[in-house]
Amino acid sequence: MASPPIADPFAASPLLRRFSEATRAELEAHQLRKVQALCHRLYAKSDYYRAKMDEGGLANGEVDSLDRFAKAFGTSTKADFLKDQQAAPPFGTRLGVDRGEVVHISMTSGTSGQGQEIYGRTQRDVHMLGYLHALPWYMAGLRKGDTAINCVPAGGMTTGGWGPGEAVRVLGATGFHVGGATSTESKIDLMLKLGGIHFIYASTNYLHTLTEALLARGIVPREAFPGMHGLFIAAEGYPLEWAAKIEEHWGCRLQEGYGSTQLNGFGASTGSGGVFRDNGERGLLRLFEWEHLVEILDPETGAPVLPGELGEMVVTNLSVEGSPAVRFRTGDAARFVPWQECGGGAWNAIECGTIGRFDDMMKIRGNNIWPSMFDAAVFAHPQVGEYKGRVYTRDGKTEVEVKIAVAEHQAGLSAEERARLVQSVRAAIKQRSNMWVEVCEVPRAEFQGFAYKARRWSDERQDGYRL
Amino acid sequence: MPEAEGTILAEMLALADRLAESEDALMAGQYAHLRARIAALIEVRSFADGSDAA
Repeated sequence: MASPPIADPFAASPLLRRFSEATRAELEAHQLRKVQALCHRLYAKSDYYRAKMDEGGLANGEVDSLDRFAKAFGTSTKADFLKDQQAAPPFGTRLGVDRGEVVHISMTSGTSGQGQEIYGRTQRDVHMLGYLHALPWYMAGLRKGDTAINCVPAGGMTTGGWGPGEAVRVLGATGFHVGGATSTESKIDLMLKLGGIHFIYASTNYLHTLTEALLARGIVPREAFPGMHGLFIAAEGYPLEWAAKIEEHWGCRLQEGYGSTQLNGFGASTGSGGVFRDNGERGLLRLFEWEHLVEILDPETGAPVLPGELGEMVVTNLSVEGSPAVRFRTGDAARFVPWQECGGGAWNAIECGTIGRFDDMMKIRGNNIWPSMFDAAVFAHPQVGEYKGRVYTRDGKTEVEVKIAVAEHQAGLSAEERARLVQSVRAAIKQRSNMWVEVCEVPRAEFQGFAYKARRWSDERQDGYRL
Repeated sequence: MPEAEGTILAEMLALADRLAESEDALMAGQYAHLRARIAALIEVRSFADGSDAA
């Protein structure tokens, strides 16, 4: 919050200004034009989507309004895409182009345990993949001539493996793609040698790990890297107390993006505004609605949620040629903020730092609990470096266990202070979840290999049902 | 000069289409890559220009 604002990205780009000045009617007219082109193309090329359109009565892929599109074009789920792929490997029947036009693939990470979706990308899609990373990073302050550290593993078969490299290059910055290839200590050594770093891209969890490791070495990030003007995170929620600490340590504004394989990059970001609103409340992820049609729907009824409510993100790509996602149910849970409440611009938004997963939701003792609730309670304590949660059954009753590890730079805490910390975390969890849980402290070494995409929770209740 | 940028890109796309007719197998993929780059820039600007994708 105390960090200085960055230069207005809109002032330096007439194109960006055009987006910001558009009326809602202009934006929706553009979306309709793109949806119509998409449906025509898919009706001609994709068996999967043609069947969807026929089922909904969209004869020949004709769509006359966004409302009709949302009502008649059925949604798809991950399971639908996996079934389509199984029947017609490797891409299923969703391609919007001839197979020969596919030059790149993106796969999902498989962390859900259901299987990995595969998406074909054309040459133009790969350029757009770069742009859909470059757009939020430009707004977050990345400029030609900057040095950027990309902490997300590069290459491979994921969207996040290729987009960052393209984005840094097309913006004219120099990218050091250190993710995955080197240890945190080696990354820090390299960063210190570079003599000037301006931008870092990392998962929320890895920025936390990196900051903790720097502090453990007695390095104050804002002093070691005084030229930093963009810290950009994605993938996981966080409490505002943590964000404020990060900004304080780095002397730089924290920005966040929402992206996915299905979006071919980012679909929303905090722009240049940071993760705090002017009043200190959570900031906004403004949706790039000229690139994606994003609906935020009640997962039970499929109806749009009201302002301020939590809904499922359902996405349609407006610019993807290869394997477009059309009305794809992401399972991501986000709080909807309509454009009228965003303080300018006709783009809708979602609340930053709180995106969760509907399928991560745990029903515990009759309560709907999201891991992000625990993240917020635990990481409100800066002494905590990491934690793990476990839900299990004991004597027929559901129990929750939370193991916390003290941050390396807090290793000097006394036994009494550690005991107080455990009690404070327990009380914070009770306050946010209305549940008393077991909390204990374990050595930080128990959390090795936990750095990139935190899977903090395990649900072992079914194990407890075995006779 | 936003309008001029759109016009220039449209002219470049037409030139790239001509290059894409090359019979040189080594160059064909690279010309397709170049054409796609221009097409992507037209796509990026399509909201401002009110145009459909290339």
